[in-house]
Amino acid sequence: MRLAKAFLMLLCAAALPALCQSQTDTYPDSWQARVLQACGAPEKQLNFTVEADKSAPPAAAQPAGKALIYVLRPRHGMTGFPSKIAVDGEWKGANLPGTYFSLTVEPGLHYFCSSAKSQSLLIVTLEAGKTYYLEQQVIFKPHSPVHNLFLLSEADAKPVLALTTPSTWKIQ
Amino acid sequence: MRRAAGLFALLFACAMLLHGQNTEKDGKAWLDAYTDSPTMNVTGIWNGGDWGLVSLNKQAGGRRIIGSADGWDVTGVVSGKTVYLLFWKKDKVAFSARLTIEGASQLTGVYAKGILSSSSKTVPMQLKK
Repeated sequence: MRLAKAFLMLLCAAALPALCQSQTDTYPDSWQARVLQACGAPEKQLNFTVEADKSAPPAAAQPAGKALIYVLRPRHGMTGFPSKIAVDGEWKGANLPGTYFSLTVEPGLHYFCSSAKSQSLLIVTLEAGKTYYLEQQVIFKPHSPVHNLFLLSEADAKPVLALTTPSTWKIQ
Repeated sequence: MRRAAGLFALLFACAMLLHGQNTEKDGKAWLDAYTDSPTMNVTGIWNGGDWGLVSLNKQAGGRRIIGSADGWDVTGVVSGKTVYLLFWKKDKVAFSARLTIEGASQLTGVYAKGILSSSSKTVPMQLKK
């Protein structure tokens, strides 16, 4: 009986940390969980054939009630392979060095995934009516390209935007 | 024999240093030590100077933070008036920061390589909205 009581107490003590955790903290903890949230399941991967399209309209209109996102990829040395973007696990488009594209997203928390031989994630809460600039930084290094996805301020993004052309793509 | 053991210990120490601190284990333990109720919702995009634009996100009623900064993945907690952040890539902690909430639009404190401790060499850090 005493042994059963001790076992029960030990079980309660072990369960205490889990019970103390806030039920509202449901964010993905690990890298793998975040990749799944941002890039989606491996079987849902899409591949794109990308081209620079100088004839495409240069700017998208700001839609009411949504956030407007520009995804820019400046030229960095010899990297020529495409870099694609997913939002919350859905693939949306791709860039080549020196191209950009825009998309609209519902306001709220979103997980962006940039994929170019490796993956980089961006987690951000977007507001309706605002414009955001995301840079895909892909720098050539043998065997392991440096790849980052980060937010740019409007002041930093405008000169990059001026040096890039719109991208168009086809799903392979 | 003693030389071999010494060499092995040295190699082990070097391997541990190269391996770095793990986000899931060491980082979680560091963040779990701070348990005060949060006093502020830090969700938003912050200007971090050399860190670029830092995105922090906290669920309403929660303590934990997730986000991104300068290509790093960010995990953290708000404890009282202090924000604790880990900057990591693929489960390896690169930097950590301890910032004090100063009004609704400024976080001020320090960061260091690896997980902050009393012996860390710290660098000032400021995030502004």
